This record gives sequence, structure tokens and C-alpha cells, in this order.
Amino acid sequence: MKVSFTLNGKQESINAPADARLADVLHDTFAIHSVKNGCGSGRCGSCSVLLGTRLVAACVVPIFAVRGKEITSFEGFCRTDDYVIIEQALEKAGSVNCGVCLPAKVLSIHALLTSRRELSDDDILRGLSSVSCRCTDATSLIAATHFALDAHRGKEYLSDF
Amino acid sequence: MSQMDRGKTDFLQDIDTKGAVRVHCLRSPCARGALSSIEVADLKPGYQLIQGRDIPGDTQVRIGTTSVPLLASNAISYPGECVGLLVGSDRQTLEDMSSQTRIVCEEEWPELSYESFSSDQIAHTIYLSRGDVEKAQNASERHIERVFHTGSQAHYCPEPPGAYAYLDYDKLIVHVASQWPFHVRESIASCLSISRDDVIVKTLSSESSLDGRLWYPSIVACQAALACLHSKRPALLQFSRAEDFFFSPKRERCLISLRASLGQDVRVSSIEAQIIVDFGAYPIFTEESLQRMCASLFTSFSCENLAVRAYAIRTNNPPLGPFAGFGLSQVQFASEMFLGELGEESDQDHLDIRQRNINRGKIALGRLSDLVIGRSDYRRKYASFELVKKRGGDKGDCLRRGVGFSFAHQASGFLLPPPGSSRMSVECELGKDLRLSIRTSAQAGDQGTLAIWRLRGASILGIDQDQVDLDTGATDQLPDSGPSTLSHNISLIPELIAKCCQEIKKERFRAPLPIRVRKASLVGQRFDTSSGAISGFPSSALSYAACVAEMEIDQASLEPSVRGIWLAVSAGGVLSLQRARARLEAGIIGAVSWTLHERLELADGRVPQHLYTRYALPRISNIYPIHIMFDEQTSLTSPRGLGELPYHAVPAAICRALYQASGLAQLAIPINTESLITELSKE
Repeated sequence: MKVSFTLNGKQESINAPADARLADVLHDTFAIHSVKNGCGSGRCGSCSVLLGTRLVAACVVPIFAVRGKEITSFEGFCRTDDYVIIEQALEKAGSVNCGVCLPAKVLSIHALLTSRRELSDDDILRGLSSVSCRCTDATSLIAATHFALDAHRGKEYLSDF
Repeated sequence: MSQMDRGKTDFLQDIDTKGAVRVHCLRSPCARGALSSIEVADLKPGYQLIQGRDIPGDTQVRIGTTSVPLLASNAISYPGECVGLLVGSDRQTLEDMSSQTRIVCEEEWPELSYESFSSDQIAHTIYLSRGDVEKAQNASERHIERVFHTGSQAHYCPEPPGAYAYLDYDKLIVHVASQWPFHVRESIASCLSISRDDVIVKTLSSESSLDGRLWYPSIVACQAALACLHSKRPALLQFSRAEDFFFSPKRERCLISLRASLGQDVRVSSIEAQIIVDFGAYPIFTEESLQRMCASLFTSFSCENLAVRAYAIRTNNPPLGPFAGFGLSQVQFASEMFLGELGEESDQDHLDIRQRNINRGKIALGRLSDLVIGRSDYRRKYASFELVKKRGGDKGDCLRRGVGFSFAHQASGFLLPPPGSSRMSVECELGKDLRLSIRTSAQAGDQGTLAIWRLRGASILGIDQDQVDLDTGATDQLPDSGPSTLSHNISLIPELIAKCCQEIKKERFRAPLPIRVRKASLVGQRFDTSSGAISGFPSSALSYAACVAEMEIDQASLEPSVRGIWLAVSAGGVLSLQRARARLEAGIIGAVSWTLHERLELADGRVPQHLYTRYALPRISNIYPIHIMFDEQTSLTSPRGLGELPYHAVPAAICRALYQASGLAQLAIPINTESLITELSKE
């Protein structure tokens, strides 16, 4: 079947089997390397992408479900100003993550920042729990999210003028 | 930011493998027997079946004294062992062909038990003693005996095992994530009967692998290389997450029995210990593991009479082997629980009983206990939880909480030289552009360790960290830095980098640039146990941790949960406080997960199917308050490993806390929460 969607701001159209998984299509066809083939059942979160503004595990999203939708992967997100905020926040908090889960964690933080203006530690922990990995270090991730939230608010404040 | 570049090119699934053949492992249906035949119903044109007889060189990969068959042919040793490779261009077709393939075996009765074993199953045994245990036992009237079990655990590496092999003119290039790239190279050269200079191993990111990338990648890489050789095309072997979970090596299982005789002043007068370790089908690193386990007991107990007999048992379970610490976590869980029980029996304070009986680390124990007990408010909590328990009486409707204390040590480095690597080398070069290149085959595992290496070199030469390049890529350009395990990345590699840089600094204005220096370190000191007697301390470079855990049992569901973990660490000078804290926190989460959640029971030598969906790594939302403290008094001494300390200290603290909360002694980990709930619901 033919499926059209927007990937990282670019209109794309492919022919794929109806049961093809978004994760496979992104990784194999579009060389989106931040989408890792992990558990294949939506548990580990290493294939996370943004579908609109929602964070989804691409391994459990069939390709037909993204028709006409906007997909943002880590590669696309890296080109935004919001990425710079999160990058600096992670650096400031000293959060060291492994290469498999880092893209998913960055997108999770972004999804959190855009979901609400106030975040408690519990909100952050819940928001980041879609990614599971042995490299997990919660303290620095919470700190990084708070740093990013402060910077994000500052950016919004400035944009109001 | 360098870490943001990760996730792009240094993982197997990110390599461009267009045009490569896929490799599918055919696995043994039986646990033990002889392979009769492999009958592929419909071998399509262009597809190949590779069996043991197709291996041109050595059919076994040697890891020390143990040999692991590349493809099992004559003897099958565990269910799911790879007996053949299906090679072809389409993954789905390979899977379809595999499902229609009949693997015929002459089945034999498997040996699945390790608790009771026959002499044929003993892969290695050692006996160590000091003093006269029998005499001390006869002289004492009080004896305490306990048996402890520790279960298996999956490595669950971020990326499942795999390898990609291709020919580049006359060289065979293999991409693989391995902690020991030179072992991969040796193994491929030996199995394919080619010169080692014709094999180039390019290492991929290992990330936090908990020793899961130590030897198994050598097997997988050989299989990919074999497929490449036969198909004459690039070959990709990539396990799925399920394949990794069911068939790759796991943590070794242990049964540890301790029998103590009590003398005057509640001092232990003798200890008799037996350690039985299930190493599965292929006992790897048995000598090192057993010696470390025994040495740990000699470090933990100061009594004059101590005898340990340790057995490495071969079974028909999947390979079970080294997992962060090489067995130290299991032994220290047992010895700490035992000390706790001794304190309970003799009505002694947890600190007193340890001060009287531990062998090494008494000063550290004092300092770390003060830190961790003060910060966690251990004494007040312990007393108040006891009081609440008494007031609640037998009703069982009182708040069930408990606190537990434990003390542990970590021994960095090998006791014996790792097989095939007697020297570990690092090379540094200061170029004309004043950039420092550090070349090592050691695999950092995380960005934090890489940053520490950079910092070490940069600070000595007075250059910026951005001027330091790390080359950890390919075996043809790197010195052999041995296996990256047992904290070598922190205790040894930075030291070698420092030595190289100090020499460069000396030569800096005497010799023209570039200046290249290579430094090597002898690894492992022969720990002679042939006489059976032991004197002094076998372990050097010890680091210590004291831990307090607070647990709660939910009144409605009766499920145990962690309310907080406090860990105080003494590990010499900490190179990066932020990175060390992050590493310890990740370790605590892993250790709690092993103790409470990661139950991996084997049934008929297999990991049961239903466990795949139930076995879960901890999620960040389930994380509890973690408090980490460092002993500042040792900050000026040389850095020692600390990453394994949580695995050694946390399980015993949790079990002691659960004992106070529930009144039920926990002598086995992972804790069977279902049976705990059943026991508690009887009340």
C-alpha cells in the first residue's frame, strides 16, 4: 500500500506492506538510525519517535497508522532550537546515557516539556518511564529535565515579546 | 555534544549492510545428545546450510581452559545451542526455512541440577583453608549453619549480540561489540585457519554490558565470519531481543552454605564454607571466579580457622558465567546475610558483629557506617519499626517496614592472568598539532569513562580535553589492552594513560614531535592455591561500600517495595564525582532489580517462554530515593573500581530490611515475591 507522511519536515511517500512496522520502515528505508530495533513489543522504548506531539514506540505502530501524519525522529529533532535546550540541560546535569536509549530520552523530555508548564519529579519520572535501559540514572535525568523546563519557559517568555 | 553523536553509527543495526547475506542460527531441540542430521526441507537456490564439518580450522573457540564449539556437531550441550547456520539474502525466507528444518539428535539424559552433582560434572574445584577448622568446631558448643541461593540474571545489553563480516581485498573485516576485541581476532583466525594479521576487528559500542560482551561475541563473530567465507559475500548475524533472552549466556547460579562455630565474645572461631556454582554447558573463567569467591570469604571473615571448598559445575543449562564481579556479589550476599543472622542469634549490634569478625576494611567500615547510618537515620528507624511490630502484635495490620545494613568490598583486577593476555598496553602520541591520541583496545562502555581517560591525559600534558582523540576502533591499529572487565577501565587504563603522558611530558622539549609512547602492565598475580593453604590477603586494590536499605510491605497487596537506598563508598580518588555517582545509581537500580524483580528460572535447561514478556528491566518511574556518599578521607589515594559495589552490597541490605518488615528470613535472591506474599497472607 502507498503511504504518505511527513518525516522530519519533509513530505515522504512509500510503498510498503500493510503490516510493515513504522520502526522497520524508518530504520531500513529512511536510514533513521536513532530508531533502534529493541524488544519489538513497545516495552523498551528504544524506537521512540514523535507522532505529532505524542511520543510513540515505532515498533508497535503499523505503517498505515501514520498516513498523513507528522513524524519527528531524533535526527529531525536535532535541527530544532528545542534540541539545543535539552542538549545543554543534559550536559549541565552531567547525564550520561547510552547511545541506544539517549535519542528516546531526549524525545521523552521534549514531549514532557511541550505537554505542560509545571512538572514535578513524579511527572518527570512517569514521563520518562517509557524508556527502559540498564544505563538508567534517574537523578541527573530529573535535574536535566528541570533545567530544560526552565530554559523552555524562558524561551516562551521571550517569544511573547 | 559527543554523546549526541551516539546512536548513529557505532551500533550493528546502523551499519549499511545492503547486499549482505543474513545468517540464521539453527538451534538444538534437545539439552544433551549427539547431532544425527540437519534436514532442511526446502533449501532454496542461493541459500546455504553451514555445519560443523564446514569449518576450515579449529572447530572450537578457546577461552582459557574451556573450548566452546562454534557449531555443535558431535555433542550437544544445552537446548538452543547453535548446530548450524542458514545463510541467504532474505531474513524472512531464512526464518521460514528454519521452521521447516528438522534437527535430529540422539538424545541423552541431561544433567540439569547443580546442587547435587556427580564427579563428572565438576569442571574445576579449589580448596583453601587456614588454621584447623575441625578442631575449632569440636571445641565450640554453638554452631550456626545457613544455606543461601542466588539466581540467574540476563545481561540485557542495549543491543542484542551480532556481528557483520566482509572481505576487503585480502583482509577479513569484522564489526562486533566486544569487551575483548583481540580475543575475537584470535578466535576468527584460529577457526577459519587464516593469519591473525588478515583479520581486522572493528569494535562497536558495548555500552553498559555487565560483562555480557566478554566472550560470547567471539562466538557470534566467528559464525558471521564463517558465513562470509562460505557465501563469499558480506554476512550479517544479528540476534533478535528474544533470541538474546533465550539463548545467550546469563549470570551464574550459586548455592553457598556456611557453617560457623562461635567462640567467646561472639567472635566466630571457625567457618566451613561450600560454594557450588552452576556454570551451565561451558564453564568459562571458572578458576578466576572460584578464586575470587573464595578470596572474598577470606576477606570477609577474620577467624583463624576457615576452610572453603568451591566447585564449578558443568550442567546442560545454557552457558552461565561472569556477570559484573565474577561471583563476588553472590558470596558477599551470603556472608553479609550470615553476619546479620549471627548478630541476630547473639543479640549483637550489626556494627559490633562486623567489627569483631571482618578481616579487611575495619577502618572503612567505621567511617562508611557512620556516614550511611547517620544519613539514613538507621538506628532510630530500626528501633521504631521494632516497636511498631511489637505493638501490632500478631494482628498483621501494623505498618510493615524494615531497614537493613550491609557492608561489601570490591576487588578490582584479575587474580590470574586472563587467558591469552598477560600484558595490557596503551599507546599515546602527541602530534605536531599538539593533539594527543590515545590508542587502546579497551572498551569504555560509557561516555563517562571516555571522559575520564581524556581528562587524565589532558591534565598531565596541560592541554584542553578537546585536544584529546581516542582511538578504540580496529585491532590492526591498536595495542592489545586485554579484556575490559573487573574495573580495568578505571583502575588500570587511566594509570597507563598517565604513565604514557608523563613520559611524553618528559620528552616534550627534548625530542621532536610527534612523540609516541607505549606502556604495558602485567595483569594478574599468580594466586597459588595448589598447597590449599592461604596466607595474607589475596585481593589487592579493594574498595568498600556500606549500604542501608529501607523496605515496606504494602498492607493491601503485601508486595515489598523499596523506600530508599543509602550507599556510602570508599574507592580511593574519584576521577569524576558526577560520573561515579551516575554509575553507582545505575548499579543500585540494577542490584535492586536483580534482588526483587529479575527472576530468571530455568526449566529443563531452557528459559521458559512466558518469562520473555514478564522479565522487565526497572523503569525510571519505579525508582525510589537513592542517596550516595563518598568517603572523602581516601580521596587522595589512587582510584579503584566502584561500579560493582552496589551489586555486592545492596541485595543483603534489602533482604535484611525485608526480614525486619516481614519476619521471614530471605536466604535466596531473587526474592520470590509470590511466595513471600503467600506466606504473609497466611498471617
